[in-house]
Amino acid sequence: MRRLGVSSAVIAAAALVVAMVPAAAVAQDEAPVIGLSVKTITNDPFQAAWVEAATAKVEELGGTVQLLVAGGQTAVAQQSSQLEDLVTQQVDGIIVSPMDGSAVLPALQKAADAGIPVFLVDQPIAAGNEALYETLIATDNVKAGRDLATYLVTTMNDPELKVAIIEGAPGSVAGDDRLAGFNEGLASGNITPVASATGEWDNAKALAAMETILQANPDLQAVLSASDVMVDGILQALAGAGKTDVKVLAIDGSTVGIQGVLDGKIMADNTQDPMAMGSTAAEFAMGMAGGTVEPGSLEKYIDSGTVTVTLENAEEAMAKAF
Amino acid sequence: MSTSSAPATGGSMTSPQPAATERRGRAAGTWDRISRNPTLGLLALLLVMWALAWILVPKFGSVDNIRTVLRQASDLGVAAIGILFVLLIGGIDLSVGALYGLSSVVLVTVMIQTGSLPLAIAAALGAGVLFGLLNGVLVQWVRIPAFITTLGGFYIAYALAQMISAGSMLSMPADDLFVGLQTGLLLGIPYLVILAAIVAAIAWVVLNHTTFGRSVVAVGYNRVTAGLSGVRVPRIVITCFAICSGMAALAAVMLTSRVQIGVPTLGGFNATFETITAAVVGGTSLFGGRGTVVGVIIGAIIIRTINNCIVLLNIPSQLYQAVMGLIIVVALVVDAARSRYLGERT
Amino acid sequence: MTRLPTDRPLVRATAAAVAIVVAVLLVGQFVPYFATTTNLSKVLLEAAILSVAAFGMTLVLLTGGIDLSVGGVMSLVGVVEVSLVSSGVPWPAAVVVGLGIGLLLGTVNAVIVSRLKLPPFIATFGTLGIAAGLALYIANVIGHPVFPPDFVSLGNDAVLGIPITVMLAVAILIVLEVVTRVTTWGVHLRATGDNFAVARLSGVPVARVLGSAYVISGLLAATAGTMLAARLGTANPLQGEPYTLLAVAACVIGGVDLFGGRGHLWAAGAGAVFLFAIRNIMNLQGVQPFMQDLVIGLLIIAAVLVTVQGPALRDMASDALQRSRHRNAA
Repeated sequence: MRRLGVSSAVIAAAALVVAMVPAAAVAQDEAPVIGLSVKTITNDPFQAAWVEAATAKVEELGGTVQLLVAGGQTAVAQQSSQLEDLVTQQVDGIIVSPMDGSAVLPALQKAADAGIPVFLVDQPIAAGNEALYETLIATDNVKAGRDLATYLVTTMNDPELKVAIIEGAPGSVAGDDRLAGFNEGLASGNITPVASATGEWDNAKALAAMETILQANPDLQAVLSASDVMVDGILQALAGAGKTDVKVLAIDGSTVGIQGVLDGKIMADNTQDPMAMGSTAAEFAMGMAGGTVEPGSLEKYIDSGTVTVTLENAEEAMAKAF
Repeated sequence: MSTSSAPATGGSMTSPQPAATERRGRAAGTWDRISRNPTLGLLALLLVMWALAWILVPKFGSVDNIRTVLRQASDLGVAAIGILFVLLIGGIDLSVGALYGLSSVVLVTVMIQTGSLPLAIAAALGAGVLFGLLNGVLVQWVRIPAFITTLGGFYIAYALAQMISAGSMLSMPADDLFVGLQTGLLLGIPYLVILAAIVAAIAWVVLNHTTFGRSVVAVGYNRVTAGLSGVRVPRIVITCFAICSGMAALAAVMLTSRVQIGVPTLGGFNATFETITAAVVGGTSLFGGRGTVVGVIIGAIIIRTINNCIVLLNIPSQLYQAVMGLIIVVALVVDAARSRYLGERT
Repeated sequence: MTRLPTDRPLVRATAAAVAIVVAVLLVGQFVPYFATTTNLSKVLLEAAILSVAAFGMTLVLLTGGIDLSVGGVMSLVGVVEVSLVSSGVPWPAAVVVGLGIGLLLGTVNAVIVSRLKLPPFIATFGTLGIAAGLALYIANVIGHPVFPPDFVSLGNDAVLGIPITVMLAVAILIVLEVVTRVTTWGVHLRATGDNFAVARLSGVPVARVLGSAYVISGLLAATAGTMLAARLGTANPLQGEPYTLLAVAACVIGGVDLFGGRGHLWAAGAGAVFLFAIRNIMNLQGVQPFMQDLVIGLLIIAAVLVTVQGPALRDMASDALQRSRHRNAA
């Protein structure tokens, strides 16, 4: 118990050993290595879905994947650092979902300098930097938000409609785009939301925000959620206040969302297609690594599509849900 | 944080002001009683806040809203009571936020595996207590400062939670009893609030009327003399850490009953700081030896009231953190001014 | 007791340097691409940013306090600078304003901790909230502007093989080392941390010394925030947040005592390098983020055990040795 020097040396050694556990990637042989850079794959079904699809596709085509996960909402600098690490490892292609569309620019420049093709998924980088990537495969988040809000407005057909918005985390481009879409869609019916608060992509925070919004607006009729990941918290808040007739709409098209539509708890859910995003990006990446796809030959923006899912088409949507 | 660096006497070297009562030359009046008793002072502060909010913030004063605020404050209050025990002995526990995540994951996992709610709750609480014992042992026997141990503990608990949940958000299987916990009312008071009140009552009795409780305060005042007068210091320290993590686990169970999801990110560092802030706003000293259960509960309610008002006033979400920070500083300044006025200083 | 060769600082320094080179080469055998110049240069570049913040944290820790607002200040300064630049202000002027903000927040901390005598833990947590919250708010208003290329190159490029950020960090270290050793203020700083009551009784103006540490920490945090903004080419309102705990970790690994009085600035810098090296190794190996945090947490515990308990251990070891000698003699 008193051998502190020994125990601390042991802990330090153990820590270093963990750090050195050989990863399954960075193969020294001929197989192309595709680097994946993402914010997080735990507790985020969306990111996990595209990463899984990309990994499967890469391995199916004979390559290996080097996956680097940044860690969370605040790990902006870590993602930049990890992108550079992928460049250091001379991977044959990089697929990235950038946390901050401007912060990754220096790192992507290094990738361009090293001749490594970059494929963007889900989130764009700052405009004017088209030379730094081959293609962006993403949902048109503004359209998704707009479609969803428009659906709500036309279905409810009530000029006095009381709608609240639960936003994503501050600083998230996807969140901002969806919010803009929501507001556009609502404006098309001349409706202004009675409240708009952030749920920070988190159920507990969304629950608290929803509860308080309900206090201020007891006659609330509908809620637009920027993502399925906040829906559970929102539904709990509504149940707790006994307001089960409030309509809930969300974006993502995850199993949570589609099941909610099937169960009648969610009125409509606009889908995303992370599987297609990951898989398509992986195909292009492997293709470019193998020489079958020419750099510069791809469309700069590929819309992976969004569909408004309601009870009618929920069954088939479930097949593609992640 | 450092028990050695705080000066023993008041801030100024000149003679302290005569006590307020003597200056006014009459027996202690209501004002004096309030300003002398920190807990009463806090209660007064809370009531003033609520009165102001009633007038200035739309929809604040409805029974429903007050109920919401109290319900939201109940898990924070329970966690704050837990950390009170650790703060009283002069320690700190940074791992409480991660305990939220770990307990919720354990709760939902066991529920999914066994379908038994009592077993799941017991497992979650047990995990918390075990973790607290580990913290206590590391602090007491291996003598690593609590700040570091519990910081490392935070990451360990978070990693454990991630491993148990295998990275997915776990949905709590439907259980009427558990859902009822968050929605039910007894005589118009939410069950969660009653639960928090019971926990507070037990904690109050333990701290004020048992040997254990008196030992805790003694250790906080002066560990050495407490040990010399027969207090089994190691036992007290370890038990306090166990209580703290256990309470965090209970708070997590309460919070999970509201979101019905088990996820490692429940709580997080924010929860750690909110809990500590609730305790400090409630008059607990970070140097040990001073703090009350009632104060801590009021601190939790104050924080949740502020949260509530910010949303009701439609203050932009981005400013929320800034406002909370400002409020904390103001609360502390007021507290410092109050104790200055009374001529006392830790 | 005879003086062992290892007691001489020069020998120790050389031994440490040799050990580091050997360690790097050894690790390079197991971790591909680690021991390349590009990679090591990048590690130093990033560590330099953290070390500047860690210097400030060291000063505060030396007084027995802590500055939790570092990460928030870093984010806020970056955001303010980028918003000025995007409205046409030349970046040097924007940087000056940014540093001024760091000074301002540091002064707020100083007043709260030294004048009002509030616990630094909570006080700086309050200012962290204010700074981080303001950063979020301003960022929401200004959108996502970027810095001009010449500013960005300061955070990413090297001159004669040495990254500019490293040169800046070393320069700051030298200035700080000189000031804390040569001036009365520096001596007072250590004395205050070592024993507050004694320092005050011996005439050290403790309130002013305590406060000054926070002011400098705020300024250094602003510097680190500017460096980070240059490195990333933008100011994301959350980018500074991890740096608070990283700064504490760097200091602890560098042997700075959390309870005040003991610690070296250069050691905090070394701690920062060590931290980023470990993170780099873990990144190259594809280790998951929560595992990375766990490893860092364990390293912090190990570091504390060694530095805080080290002397105690030596005493215990020599006691044990004495006892066994007695036993053998009897």
